[in-house]
Amino acid sequence: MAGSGDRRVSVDGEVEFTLSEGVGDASVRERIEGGARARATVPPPLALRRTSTLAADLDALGAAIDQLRDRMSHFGEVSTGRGGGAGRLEVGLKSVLRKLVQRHIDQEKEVHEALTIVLDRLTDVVRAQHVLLDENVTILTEDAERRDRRQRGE
Amino acid sequence: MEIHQLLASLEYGDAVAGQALAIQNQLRAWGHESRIYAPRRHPLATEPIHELDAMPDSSSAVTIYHHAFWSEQIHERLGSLGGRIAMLYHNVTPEHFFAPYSEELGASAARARGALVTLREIVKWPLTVSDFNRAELRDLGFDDVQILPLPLDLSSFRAATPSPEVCARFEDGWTNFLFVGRLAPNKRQEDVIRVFAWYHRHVDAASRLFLVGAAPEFDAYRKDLTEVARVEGVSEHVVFAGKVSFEELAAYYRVADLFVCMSEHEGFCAPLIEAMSHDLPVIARAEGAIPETLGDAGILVRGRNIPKIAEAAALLVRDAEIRRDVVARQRARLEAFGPEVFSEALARFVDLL
Repeated sequence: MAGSGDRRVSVDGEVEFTLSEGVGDASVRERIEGGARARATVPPPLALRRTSTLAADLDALGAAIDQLRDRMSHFGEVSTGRGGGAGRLEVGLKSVLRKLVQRHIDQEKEVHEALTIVLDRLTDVVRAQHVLLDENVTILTEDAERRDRRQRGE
Repeated sequence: MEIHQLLASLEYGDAVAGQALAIQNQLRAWGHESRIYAPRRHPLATEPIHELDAMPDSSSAVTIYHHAFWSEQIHERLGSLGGRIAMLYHNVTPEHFFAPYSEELGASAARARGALVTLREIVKWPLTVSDFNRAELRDLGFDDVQILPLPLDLSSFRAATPSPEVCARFEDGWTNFLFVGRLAPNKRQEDVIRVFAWYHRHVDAASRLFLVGAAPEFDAYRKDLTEVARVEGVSEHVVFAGKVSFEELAAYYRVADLFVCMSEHEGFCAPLIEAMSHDLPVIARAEGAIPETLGDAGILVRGRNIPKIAEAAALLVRDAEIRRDVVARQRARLEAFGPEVFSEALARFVDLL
């Protein structure tokens, strides 16, 4: 296949190859040398995938807990959309009914509060694991960079 | 005419066995009587072989002896044959590569190289597969060494359906590096791992390396390679595939993006031909017969500048224009190993007899 326009590319005699006329630009050699000299470490993909998935899961969990808290804060309250006497009458009736089931309401509220505590603790544990995983990724990446610097004799 | 062949072992899927079978087929097609004699055959090799004791002592028969390593049994048999012996030299790996891992194999390699001095006295027609090997033989005093190139025989690959399991597992958009060759110290798979590790860390973390090939006699070297992968932080991404079937090998060639060979001693390096025939761009160390096998195709590297070699790999994987040009050159290079080149060289040899 050797043609008259073939171009022999040599990177300090360490990497050599032939390209056809018009293929690749003059920067081919610089791309190899520059990449070898200065390319940064790319993050490990699996660890990254794990941390990004974990972060999304944490956000979703946080939103769910906020929604739960919001609903529980109104638990047992009575209200009405009506005004004037009709409204006062409706609130009064609802309050009477609420008192009738107060004991049941209190028990349910205690269960929900316990559930909130469990969820808060679960969030703390997952958040701590997230931080630990990030630290491990950082350590692995720094190790890899140190190895590369040694390899390059820096 | 009777033209038989003598091998220490008919292996499965290796270059020596492939050439012996191609020679036998071609000689038979020309009407010659031709059989393969070998004391051993790999369990997966199905082609028939004949016992050494059954070899004809007839002075009219010609024996082509394939010399690649030491076998006392073979050398005794050669000594008892008449004078019509041709030697097809496939090269012998220098002992210094093996000695640190196996004194026995190191000593065997030394005996195989030493045997060339004796062979020079009894071999009438020295043949070999590359100029690199021819130069070695000339240094040892062999005259009129003929080249009989390895035949480019892709029939096994064409007949094989790439393993669906390997394809399903690894055709996932990741960049796949490949090296095919037995795990042996002269192949320098540790440098292949280091090149891959640099690429994996700096260029594309979604990448993996396949090392296809086994060598039970180099278990310590295999352990060293595992340790290199661990130290480089790429254990999870280096696949030691071991000895594979043709279907699996075809699949590895199919899913691979690049062939990386860091071998420091090769008498020819047949996997380069296989890789080129699968349109895989090749990066290989310019040692032994490798520059001659690649010609002006692929990328040749010298020394151990791992980052630069890995960046050259990145060029082949990521620059579509350069990749296409390199692959086109590789296709053109394959013409030097076509079946007609092989049969013409074999015909020239037969004319000498």
